[in-house]
Amino acid sequence: MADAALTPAAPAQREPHHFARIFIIWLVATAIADILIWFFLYPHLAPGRLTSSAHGDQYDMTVLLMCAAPVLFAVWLWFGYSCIYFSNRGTVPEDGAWYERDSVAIQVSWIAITSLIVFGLFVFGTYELIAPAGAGGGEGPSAIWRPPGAPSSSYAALHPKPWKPGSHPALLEVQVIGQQWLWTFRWPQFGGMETTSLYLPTNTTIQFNVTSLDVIHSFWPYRLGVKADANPGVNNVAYTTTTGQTHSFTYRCDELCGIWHGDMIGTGHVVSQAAFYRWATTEEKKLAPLTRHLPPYSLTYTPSLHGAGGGLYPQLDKPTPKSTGS
Amino acid sequence: MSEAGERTAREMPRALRMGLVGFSFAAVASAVGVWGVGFLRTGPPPVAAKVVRTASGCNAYLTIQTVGSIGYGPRPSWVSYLVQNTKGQWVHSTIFVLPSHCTIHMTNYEYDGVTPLRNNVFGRVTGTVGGKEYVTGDVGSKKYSTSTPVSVVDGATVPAHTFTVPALGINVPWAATTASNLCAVAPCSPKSPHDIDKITFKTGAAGYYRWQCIVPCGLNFLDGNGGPMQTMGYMQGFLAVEQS
Repeated sequence: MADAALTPAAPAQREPHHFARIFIIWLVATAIADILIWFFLYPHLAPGRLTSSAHGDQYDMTVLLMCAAPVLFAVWLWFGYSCIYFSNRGTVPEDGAWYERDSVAIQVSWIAITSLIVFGLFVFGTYELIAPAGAGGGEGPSAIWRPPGAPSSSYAALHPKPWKPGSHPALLEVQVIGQQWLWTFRWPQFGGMETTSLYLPTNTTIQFNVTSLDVIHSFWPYRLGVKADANPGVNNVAYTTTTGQTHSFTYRCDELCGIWHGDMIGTGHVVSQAAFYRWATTEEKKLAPLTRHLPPYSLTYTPSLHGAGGGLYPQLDKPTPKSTGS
Repeated sequence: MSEAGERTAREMPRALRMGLVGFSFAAVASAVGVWGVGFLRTGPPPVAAKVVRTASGCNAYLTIQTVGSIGYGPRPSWVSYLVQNTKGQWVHSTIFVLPSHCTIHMTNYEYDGVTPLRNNVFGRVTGTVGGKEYVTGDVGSKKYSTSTPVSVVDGATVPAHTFTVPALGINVPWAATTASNLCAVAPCSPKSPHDIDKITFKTGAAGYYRWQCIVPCGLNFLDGNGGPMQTMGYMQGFLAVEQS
């Protein structure tokens, strides 16, 4: 006892500054991750850069990934660090756990950081929706934010200016019609012809007018960064602008629409403006005998009440006693 | 014997009870499983076309008929396709077995009346040799007594049904008979009013290609899209193209 009293007290082990440690590790890891994401992942991230809206999707997802990486690392680091430094080594406190009670600094930091993230995402998302004017999603029959040259009314959409290679603004209207279980396409700038194949020109702003003749479908050419529901009786407008790159792309239905929903798939092609014009004018001439039988170009086509017994373009239906009220 | 003693004597041993319960459960589960597998495997039988190989190549002959109502079975009022097997018997099936890289000569006896297309773009014949079908009978108000080539029809007044194979780019609107006394029970005989529609197309690589009728002909179903339109063996099926 006397020896113990005489022995000089061992210097108390200094508690390391855990928060500073975690912060520095987090900062370095986050910086490395974000640099890797920006320079290496961004160029390869789906859906690619084949159209303006696809590039927009890619950019948005990259930014969101770069925002998510710090949060992810913060959680992982805190968890890992706690496992190593704050694990129970036989000195359990009386109430069974350590915790920091009523830390105002932690609470304020938590609220401030999460609020900042949410507000930042709100501002970023809103800007990205408005600024590129045509985010590739279905924006209803009268889109609020339109790219230059896009028709501002249904009348203008029904009577678009002719399209030729090099015309400015080079906006091309393509009506996408879903029906169980095929897609067809009408071209108001080419005599209202309807095709079962889809060709698009390079360096052109496309206005997809998406509708359905029966149930709800969803037009999804993934690599174009476009996805728009096809609802019967509704014209759902989606914009995108092709780049100078020629390529093929797959379009499919993304709304469970019946037994052959999974087979509602096709391949479209982006070709040069000259090649597209050749294709379109050739098809227009070739399909002229068929186009005569089509109803006038319209933004929607309402199925008849006659169901299987009648034509499904109303103008072809004969009036029935019930419908004429006699 | 006391009451408790009598009850114990009447009760089965615990192991036996558990065995019986387990056995009953297994029996019911097996029955449900067998029924489920049987249900899933139920489908129309594949029917092969008659194949003739000569030095000039492969030719296959497929004869089908389309009827306004099958007239028998669990769905007698449903519109349906039938196909003739190599023995000349009519089979209620929509799975046609064809050889690959072969010229298919298909004949449809159309016993149904006009059902307008929802989308007239399918009034155009595509994917056949020459982009035509050859019709004997009514094409709207026109009547052809001999086989006459047709490439586009008015979707409101001509088709009864279509033969549409999206993956092969084939679409054929079968011209309908305009007679009113239609055959109501399949298989129909040529004594009943009918059109004869013939096409020739070529198969490519082996594969399973789905086909459908694109006319919304499911009478009494919403927009004509249900029932036979969504049931294998009626208005949709497969071309089972086999390696030859």
